[in-house]
Amino acid sequence: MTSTLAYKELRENVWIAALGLAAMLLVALGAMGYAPLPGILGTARQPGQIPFTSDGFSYQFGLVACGLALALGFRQSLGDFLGDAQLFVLQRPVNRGRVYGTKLVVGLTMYLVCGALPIALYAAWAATPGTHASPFAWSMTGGAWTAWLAMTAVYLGALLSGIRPAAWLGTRLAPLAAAGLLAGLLALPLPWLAGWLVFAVGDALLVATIVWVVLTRDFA
Amino acid sequence: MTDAIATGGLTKYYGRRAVVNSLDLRVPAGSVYGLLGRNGSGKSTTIKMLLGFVRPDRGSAHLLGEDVATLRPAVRARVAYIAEGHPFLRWMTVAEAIRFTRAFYDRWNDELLDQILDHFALPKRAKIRRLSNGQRAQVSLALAVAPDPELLILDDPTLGLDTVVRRDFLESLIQIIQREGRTILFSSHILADVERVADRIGILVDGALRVDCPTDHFKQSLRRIVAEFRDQPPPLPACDGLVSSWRVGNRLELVVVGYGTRHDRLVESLEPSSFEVLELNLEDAFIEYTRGPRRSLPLLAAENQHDQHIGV
Repeated sequence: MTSTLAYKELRENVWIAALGLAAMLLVALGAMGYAPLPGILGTARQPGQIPFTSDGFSYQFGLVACGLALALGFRQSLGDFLGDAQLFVLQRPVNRGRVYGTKLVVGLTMYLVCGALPIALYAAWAATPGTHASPFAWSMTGGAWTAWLAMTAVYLGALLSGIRPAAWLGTRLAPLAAAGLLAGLLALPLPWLAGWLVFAVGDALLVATIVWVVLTRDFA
Repeated sequence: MTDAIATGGLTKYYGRRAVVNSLDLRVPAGSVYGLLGRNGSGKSTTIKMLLGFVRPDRGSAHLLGEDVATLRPAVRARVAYIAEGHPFLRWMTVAEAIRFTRAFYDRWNDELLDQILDHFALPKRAKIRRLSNGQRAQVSLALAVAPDPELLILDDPTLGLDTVVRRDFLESLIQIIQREGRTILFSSHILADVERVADRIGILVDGALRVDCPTDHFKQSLRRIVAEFRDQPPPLPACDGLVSSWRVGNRLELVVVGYGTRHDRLVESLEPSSFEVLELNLEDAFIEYTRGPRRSLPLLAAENQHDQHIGV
């Protein structure tokens, strides 16, 4: 039954993931010098720019990844409340934890895969000799990977805001605001390991809150 | 006889308002129980508490002998639910909805499912979002019955259906009921539906269970007494079982529960010029029991009403 729940999540959200992936690939292609939509998504590579370091890739990637994380989080949570669709699932002989756990794992996996592919593609291009006239070391990709990880907090914050019942919109969006602050730590010059640790702890807190809300809230 | 559903002091507050208040409900196994009440009386909240969607603030609920708070999926699989409005994942086709639902059950009766779909002429390739309300209700019924549940809980299943579809739906429900040992709890606004299928009814008024008895007993115990007077009717003394009373000109009308000779004697003591005792159908009985003090606008006749309300 977990595979059935996972299929439902994939089927409902794959189009969002596909759009997000396409947008992030455009950013990566722009950084590689092939910008199909210059000025809209991705900027054409300038001579002398060093991959991942002075080309603004991490910033642009972070913006698009943030959009994907928001769209996935809200679609997966609020989408189920349209027309009481969640009752069609929750009435099955399966506990809420498994329903929402599957939702979270599938959503997070979609985000992580869609985010990782453009970074990996750009990194592979940058690591290929003869593609650009500048030095490259794999550690230079750390900033992009940190942005990738930071936006998991935005995904979890959006999911939690959608699931958590609250009468007032401001209160409802509080988890997203907290996740935004967490993701905002990207702007600080943290060593990448410290950054990863901060985001991992933040994500764990958000996941724990999601589990608590799912197990205790009313689905009236 | 064991109870398929049993609640004890079940209570739910929304804000400061108790939408369900100390509900002690027992639905015997094998019975068809109609849960009635006006909008906002707590029917849907009660059903959602029974199914574990809503957590009670106080009290307990048991389904098939197991506490709802710790209901195991294996027991939950023996309970089917048809939600108000027949929610679905609307992107699915009927076939996808069947595949999705079947994945959660060990027991699944494909033959019965196909019979119901054939009966209603529902194509499996049809998109759920393109189906009418009536067709979605029919798919809901088919999916609810396919796992061969021991207990069916239906929350206003005929709401929004036209008369023909509603009748078809009920006929199918009656056939399903006839399968041995199945218990059905269903809420409805349409009293005629309840009258057709329920052998026991409960009436919720403001979250409290005010009536819980066999359907026939409820109908037989309520009477409307219409007394005509030459002048203004005299004041009505206190009376056991008085549900409501009101005056229209020289006429006094009473609705009483547990009608008996004491009510005849009471009316005779008022010395009316004539009086008659009328039976009520379930709908009239329900309306009298739940309408509260507000009546229709007295545009054509001045009403001097003084309603009183009591419990059974």
